[in-house]
Amino acid sequence: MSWTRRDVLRLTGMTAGAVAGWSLLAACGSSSDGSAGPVEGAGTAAPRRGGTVRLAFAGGGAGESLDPFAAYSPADLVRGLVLFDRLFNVLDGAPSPALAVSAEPAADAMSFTLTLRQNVTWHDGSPLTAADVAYSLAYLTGPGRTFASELPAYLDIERVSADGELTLTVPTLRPVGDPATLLAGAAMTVIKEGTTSFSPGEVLGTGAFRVTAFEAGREARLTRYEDYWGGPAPADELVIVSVDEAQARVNAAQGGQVDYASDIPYTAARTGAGAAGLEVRDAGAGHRHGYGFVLNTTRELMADPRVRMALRLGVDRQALVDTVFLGYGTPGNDLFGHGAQYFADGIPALERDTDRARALLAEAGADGARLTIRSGDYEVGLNASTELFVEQLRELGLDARAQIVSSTEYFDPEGIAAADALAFTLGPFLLHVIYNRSAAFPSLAFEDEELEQALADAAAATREGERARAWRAAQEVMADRGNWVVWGLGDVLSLAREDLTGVEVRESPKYPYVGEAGFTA
Amino acid sequence: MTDRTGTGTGRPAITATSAAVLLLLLAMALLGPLLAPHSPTSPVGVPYEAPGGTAPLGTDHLGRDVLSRVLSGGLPMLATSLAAAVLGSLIGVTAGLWAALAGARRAWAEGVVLRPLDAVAALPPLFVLLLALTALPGRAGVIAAVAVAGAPLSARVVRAAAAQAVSRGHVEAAVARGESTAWLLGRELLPLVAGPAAADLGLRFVGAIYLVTAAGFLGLGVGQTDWGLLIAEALPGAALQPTALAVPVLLVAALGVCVNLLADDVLRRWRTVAA
Amino acid sequence: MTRRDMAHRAIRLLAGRLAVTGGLLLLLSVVVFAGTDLLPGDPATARLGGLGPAEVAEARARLGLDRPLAERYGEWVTGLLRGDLGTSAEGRPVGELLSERLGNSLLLAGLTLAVLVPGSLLLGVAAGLRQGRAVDRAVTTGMLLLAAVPEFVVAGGLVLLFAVTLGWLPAVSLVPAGASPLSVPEVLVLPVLSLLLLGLAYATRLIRAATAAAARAPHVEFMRINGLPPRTVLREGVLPAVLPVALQVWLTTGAGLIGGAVLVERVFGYPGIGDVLIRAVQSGDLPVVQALAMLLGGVMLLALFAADLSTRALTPVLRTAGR
Repeated sequence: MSWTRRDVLRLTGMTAGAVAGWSLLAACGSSSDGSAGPVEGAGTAAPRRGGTVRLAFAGGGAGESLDPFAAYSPADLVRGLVLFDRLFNVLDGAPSPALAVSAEPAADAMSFTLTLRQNVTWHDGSPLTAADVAYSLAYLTGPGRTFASELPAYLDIERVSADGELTLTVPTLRPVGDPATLLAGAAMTVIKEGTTSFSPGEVLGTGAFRVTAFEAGREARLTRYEDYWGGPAPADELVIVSVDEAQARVNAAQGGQVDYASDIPYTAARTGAGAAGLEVRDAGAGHRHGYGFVLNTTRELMADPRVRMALRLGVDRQALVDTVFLGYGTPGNDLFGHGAQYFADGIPALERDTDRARALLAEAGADGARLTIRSGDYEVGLNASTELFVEQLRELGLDARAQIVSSTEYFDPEGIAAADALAFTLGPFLLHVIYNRSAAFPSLAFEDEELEQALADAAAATREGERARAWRAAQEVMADRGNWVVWGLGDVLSLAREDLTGVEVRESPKYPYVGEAGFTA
Repeated sequence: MTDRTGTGTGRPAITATSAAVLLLLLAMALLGPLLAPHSPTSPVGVPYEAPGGTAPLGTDHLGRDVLSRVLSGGLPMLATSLAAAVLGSLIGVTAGLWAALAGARRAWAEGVVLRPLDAVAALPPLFVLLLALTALPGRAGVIAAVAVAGAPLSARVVRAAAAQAVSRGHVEAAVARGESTAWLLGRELLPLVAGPAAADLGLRFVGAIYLVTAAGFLGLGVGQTDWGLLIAEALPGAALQPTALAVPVLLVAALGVCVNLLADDVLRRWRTVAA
Repeated sequence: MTRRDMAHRAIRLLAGRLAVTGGLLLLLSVVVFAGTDLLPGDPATARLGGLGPAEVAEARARLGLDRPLAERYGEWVTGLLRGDLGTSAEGRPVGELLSERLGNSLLLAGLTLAVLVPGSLLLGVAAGLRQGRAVDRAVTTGMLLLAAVPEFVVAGGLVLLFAVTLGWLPAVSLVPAGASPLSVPEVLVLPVLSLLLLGLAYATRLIRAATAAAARAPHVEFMRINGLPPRTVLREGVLPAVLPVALQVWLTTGAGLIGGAVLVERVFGYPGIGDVLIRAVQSGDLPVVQALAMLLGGVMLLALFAADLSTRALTPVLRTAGR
């Protein structure tokens, strides 16, 4: 299985090239006209029908596309979620039926039966059929496609057969005990059979909205699809605008240009909403993003488990949380996947112990060793965390250096391979997505027999209890000797009109489902 | 030629002030790292602390002392800009002089030297910076970009000044004696174009400062902390900690203004002497 | 000299300048192609970065990147002459990718220039005529300070003042899909103002210097001594000497604004070429980088050509007394 640099982007759930939030002079100081701090659980009241909702997300410039298999930036993903539907969605870290109502594995876990929802229609009124799903799976793996997906590694896509109008049999290449989770994690979207073009006039989806106008890197205008299988959406129209700079999104909301600014900087939360009728919203503890460093075990220094443990003991988690998140977050326990099903919340965060860290380094013969930490602000805060981590490692006597590069350059495979550690952030992806994609990238992978066994067990297990045990085992390996230093979990903040409701977090709060968005009466 | 419009009293004062400020900035850049009360890289307090107490200018987004960072950030800024400006001017002056000299002997030779430079000069400097930083990350990239973007302009300035000089008696005599090109360039022509070349060096220097700052703004890593990077870093939190933005902006602006004024003055003096 | 001689000379001059500009464009294409070829990465690695050496080599062969530089250059240049800018790493035609955004950037530069021309002339001449007096001091100092502050700080300051604090103008240049920025003129104001301040500092300084020099010229002195009214002195004596310089400044500034607006475009999220340029360079999307370099460089060379011609047309001495 091979991976492009975009897969890493995809893995991190972030845009290709959303560059470091410059930004200027957040809110003008006074927070008298805004609320004191971020509010949690806001915007859940029932919306009234009608209205145009304008939402700003980080975009992907001229590279944006309506093709759901070419979606990388938050704006692309948000648009895709309301235009198209997936077989399974991710809700609260677990799969939830969407276009598929069930995926039943065979006894040997070497195939599964996919049953589709009834009465789903495309935007031209034609019904959804099994052939559409078969086409979508084949499209995903077509020549020249670079969409990041683990599906081709698991599914025998050439032998997928439609058994009826709404059922398919999908043979697998290796045991798949929980196909729903696999499909949900892969964000498997369904496009109409025969689709070759995704231009605004031609594209067809099954989603709650259809496209009326689209301009890459600028804006998409979507109107309600009345016959949506989930019931018609509240808003008449959605306008999804691409604004790459975080502070520019804040400014746009404060100036009344948009009703919702996603993923705003922590400094904006400090200064307040900045205008009457606006509030800073916090996606909540369940939807935090993990921030950390992935240690490159292909480098001699990081191959030593004592060095890895020393780094984990040497990091000052609280200081990083207080500085990088301005306190809007909590220390992490070195595991990615917080918020996902089977995540090992019970494993505690290590206490800082510089004496033991120094002793371990001495034992490993790594006193004063030189190490390079590569970072690029593809998410704001990574560079800051790297600079601080470097200082903390210097206190351990290590000759640590930060290698700060531009966010697009960051993903250069050769550069990644040459660094000892990488600044990294991950949203609440399903665990198998995180572990499998990391494993496929040599510089990020952690090779360990026990871990690989646990991952294989988790994939093949058809029963809930087995899966939970396998995931527990996998995470214990990572906690014991793994290559992650996940120092913190950061809140995801947005700035919204107080009467805006129905912005629903599914996979990540950075690209929520906005099909139910509307204004309260 | 005297200034008939009555600026006689203002000029020397402005020039003296510019020179004094420039010297002060230079001293600050050189001695700054020694005077810094704290480490420029390790945090001394909470992020965005207001000025006062342990941090006289407050703390930055990572809780580091702004004063110490400002004091330590001058040298990399000045060194990079100066190296870039000198390199660019060196290429430009050599090309310009050679073109003027060769052009006096054979008209086409001038084009051979200057035309390729003209083609490069047509590209926006920021574009050249982006390309150079991609090929050559870090300080070296900035220096290369400024040199490449600035050399064609220097060459034009120097050539224009040298074209007049070439026809002067003693240069013509040297050409007639059959002196080597290097000798002609160094001994005969260079002193005659020193004024414009020096003024031009100043302008290249100012250009370099802005490209270094722009690189910081675009998130292109240039290694060490400098004033340009400090500005870019301070932007997101400017509402919480305005001094962290204001101080480096003022320093960069002062540097730009002083060098500009001095370059003007050098040019004016040279014209007076030459006339 | 007869009129026919003069016409001949003018045509010869035009042809000569045109040939030089054409040669420069060709030279630029060589510089750009060879220069970008030195960059790390190419469309194959840009698209297939992590796929491993075998896949990248295969893609290189498919895209024809393994052929000699000269051969690829020849193909690229002939494509350019046909108006074919190539295909981006994403597989989209570069011309299509750039056309609209380039139009938006041109619009920004054009509007800026429309204000810059009268503005810089007025300020520059006013200051130049009153050299050393209060007006001159104010203009000179203002322009010097303006030039000394990085443009993204200036742009940010304008956002803070006019968008965030006063709420008069939008902070972000949002342009509806399928519409031109002209349909929402309010989003153009702050970007144009930022660019204007950037260009004004440079243009005014040069025009002021030219005016001051012209005002000291013997023939102007002569007109003044002969008691001609200041207005006539300005129209007959000063402006004819200043305009050629000013025209040159405006043309080059205007051309420079197209590629120089990158930072300002970024501050306002303006849908111009700035964003494409930055992304293309950083991701190694060479066809886009090369096309942009040729376009921006070409516009600048044409501006220089136009400046050269108009200088000659406007300068009486050069027009008649050319050797």
